[in-house]
Amino acid sequence: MQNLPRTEVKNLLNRIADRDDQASRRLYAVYQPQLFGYVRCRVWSDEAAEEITIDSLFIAFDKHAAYNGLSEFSTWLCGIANKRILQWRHGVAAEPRMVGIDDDELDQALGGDWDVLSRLEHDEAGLAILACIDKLPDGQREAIYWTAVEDYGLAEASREMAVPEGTLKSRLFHARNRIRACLERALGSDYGVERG
Amino acid sequence: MESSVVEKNTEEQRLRLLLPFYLNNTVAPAQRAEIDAWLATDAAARQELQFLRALTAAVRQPGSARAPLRGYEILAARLSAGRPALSWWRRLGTARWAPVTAMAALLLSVQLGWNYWRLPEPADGVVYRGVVARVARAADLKLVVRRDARFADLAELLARNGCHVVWGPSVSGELWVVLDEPATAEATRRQLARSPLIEDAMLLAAP
Repeated sequence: MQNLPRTEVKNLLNRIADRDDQASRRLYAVYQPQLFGYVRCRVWSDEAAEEITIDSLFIAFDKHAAYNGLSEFSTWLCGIANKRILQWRHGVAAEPRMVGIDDDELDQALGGDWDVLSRLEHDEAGLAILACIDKLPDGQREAIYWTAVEDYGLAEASREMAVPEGTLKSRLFHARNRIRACLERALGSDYGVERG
Repeated sequence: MESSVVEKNTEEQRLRLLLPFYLNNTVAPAQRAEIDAWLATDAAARQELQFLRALTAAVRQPGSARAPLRGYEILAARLSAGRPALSWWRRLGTARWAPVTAMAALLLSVQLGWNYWRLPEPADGVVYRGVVARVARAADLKLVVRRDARFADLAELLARNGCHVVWGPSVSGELWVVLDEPATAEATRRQLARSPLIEDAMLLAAP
């Protein structure tokens, strides 16, 4: 995430404590879109992502004294958001899953057709991909976020997720295979995955 | 399960696993060269990279397309609801009222500065609506003048001894005078008492 200098963040938080509306607007405008992007990658609902984002920023602004400036503000915010995401997951029945799609089966289809998106209009493709990402396991969604949104390298992303580098690479590979399979299914085609 | 793909470790699979990092420009130059060579010869690999590009664009969309202040009013309302109401004088210091408070302080400063630099110095004595009323000094001596004394002789005597009439004469010939040199009041009194024009001279204040 793009971060403001830590001293500026602390200054803005102090001003927010003094009810300075301009300071809260400034900090909100910088971090809200980025935090929403992060949260939206971790949950499968726009409404939930919106709620968790605002909740997390509210906690950060309200408990401003807890931010000690030793880490980036975005890291601290993501920590707050992660707790809210966990709480939210406990409150929902179950994650959406891709029924009948198995990673082992997908592994057998290494030479599959990656041209599936050519059958979709540009706008449709983005929405269809997001819908399929929503059905991925959380670990795969998180891996996509750190590499595709934050542009983290292999070592940095695996450190962030606290997993071995091999696991991260596998998660990313499985994720795009699953998305492809999801898109093929959504298009009602019978091409793509060859089941062993 | 997750490590099974890695274990295959075929050359092509090794490069395929690195594609997300090739796309975000974080692979080492040597690996980049290997992937470039693979992409140059494998159409399916190029399609897979294209697929990853579309995936990246899609996943970046929710954050990048979002209005910066969307939902801010909800947050602001929650923040203000969770705080006790400010007293009126503390509200003056909040951002909303700060310009008004600053303007009032500025105007007050200008007024005080104007008063200090432009208004006249306070005058000695009593001032009523800007007009200075000089207060007469309390008399130093009370003189009783002989009934046959000539005014011209009396005026000369008083002027010579530094005396100024502040009240009188009364019907019984009394004059109250102040002296140019109040410290010499007793000596002046004796001097005046010796004059044939003066019947009596009394000291009114201690020297």
